[in-house]
Amino acid sequence: MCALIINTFREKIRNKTFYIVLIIGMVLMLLLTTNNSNLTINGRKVAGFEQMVPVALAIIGFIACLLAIMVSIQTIPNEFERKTTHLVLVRGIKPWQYMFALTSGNIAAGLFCILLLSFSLILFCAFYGKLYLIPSVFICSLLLGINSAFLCAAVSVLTIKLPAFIAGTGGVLIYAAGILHGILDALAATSEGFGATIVKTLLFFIPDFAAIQGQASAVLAGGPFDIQPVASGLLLIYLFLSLTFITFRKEV
Amino acid sequence: MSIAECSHLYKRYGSCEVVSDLSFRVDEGEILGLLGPNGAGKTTTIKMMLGLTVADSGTIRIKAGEGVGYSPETPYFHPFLTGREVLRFYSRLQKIGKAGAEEQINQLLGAVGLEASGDKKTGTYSKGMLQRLAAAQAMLGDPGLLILDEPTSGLDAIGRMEMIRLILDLKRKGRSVIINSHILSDVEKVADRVVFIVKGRNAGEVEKREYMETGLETLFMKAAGIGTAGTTRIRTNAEIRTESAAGDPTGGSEDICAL
Repeated sequence: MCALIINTFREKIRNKTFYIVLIIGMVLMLLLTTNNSNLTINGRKVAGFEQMVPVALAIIGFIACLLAIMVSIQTIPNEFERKTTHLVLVRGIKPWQYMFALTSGNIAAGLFCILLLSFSLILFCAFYGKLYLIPSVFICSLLLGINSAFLCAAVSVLTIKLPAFIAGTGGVLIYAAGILHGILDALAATSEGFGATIVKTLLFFIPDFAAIQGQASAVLAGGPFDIQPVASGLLLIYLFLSLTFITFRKEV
Repeated sequence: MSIAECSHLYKRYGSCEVVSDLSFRVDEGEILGLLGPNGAGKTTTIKMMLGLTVADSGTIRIKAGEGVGYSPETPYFHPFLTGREVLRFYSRLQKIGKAGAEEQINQLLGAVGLEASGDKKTGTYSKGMLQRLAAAQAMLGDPGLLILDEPTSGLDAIGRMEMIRLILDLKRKGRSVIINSHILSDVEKVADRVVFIVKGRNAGEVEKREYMETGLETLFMKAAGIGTAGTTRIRTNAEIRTESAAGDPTGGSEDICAL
């Protein structure tokens, strides 16, 4: 199974689009972390490298989530389309092992991408002499990696049964629901009826991306850390990974 | 003695019966050609033999202890891997030990004529080279039965010649091979016996000496019901079943797909 994960990872990190988005992300960070920025958030001018780091991390989180969807959207459909499935399954690999390995490969590629983006921020930290920020930035990246890992797992599982386009759209909707988790939760709590129940059920299976991002910011700012959203994110990754054990296409 | 036997296979996709009461056997050391028009159910039959799809009913028996190697019609290998890395990857999936795998990979690259290109990326391979690499991966682990799906399809004249030479080499080494093809001339060059599959049924089978006398095309036309045959008579499906019942051609076999 390790061979399959490594192969998937190797294939993913060779995707040119992946690097184009990465370069765009790095350029954005370069623009943000320069002191000449005129960025204002909630009417307050954000100036100086240290104030820019949380903004840069939020952008890293966003780009990493987009890349997570992009990375995962084609892996499994391609395997079925190219009939690579035949060469793997005839060797006694179980369908669940195969799907689990492909999904894990996607997650590894998603994490690689967020670490690569963070690496550029770490370089800027070193360049501006803010070495003390490096450990916090690294931990923040790992926390943000929970969001992208969840998206990789969710989109991968969706692509087992659904066409890539629909699974990708599903991934974007999941991302939106994850970011707006708090608002949607509040809306669902104040509503009644079948629709509200559906929304509550769906939100139960989607991590609160904003809350996880909030914990990453708390690590950076040295504020209080709430383990609950992080733990629920990890649990949901586990849940979606375990869905690969029971989901497979009827015809290969 | 047969290495594999399919009995009364049925497979339906929705309202379409793709395979219908199909029976045939593969003898040890023989090259069996599965010949039929496109959509005749050949690939579905192979997928059932490989366990990639489940037959609605019928049995498939493979001789105990024998592995099955498979080479697909349009093989895809990651273009960033070298031929050697592709074989290494599949040998790891088959859990072949590292030392044994390296020895086998060197042998197989030599057997398929890719020893000089083994360290080149598969993205640079021609279609013929990819087909030969596919045959090499099918031979990993030394399986008793090899299933080659349209091995010469889409190849140029040289590629086809090389593939035919490789299949004949396999026969010399005593391997049992099933060749699934719709190219009569290629099957004619290598097959010891040919089973005609028409509309999912066994429309008859002929030995090499029979089709060499009459010509495979004529016999195939008759089996497909689109012409008249010469003097050689094609055995019907019912006759084949009677012959099989007379002796147990599957001695020492085990069910891999009892339905």
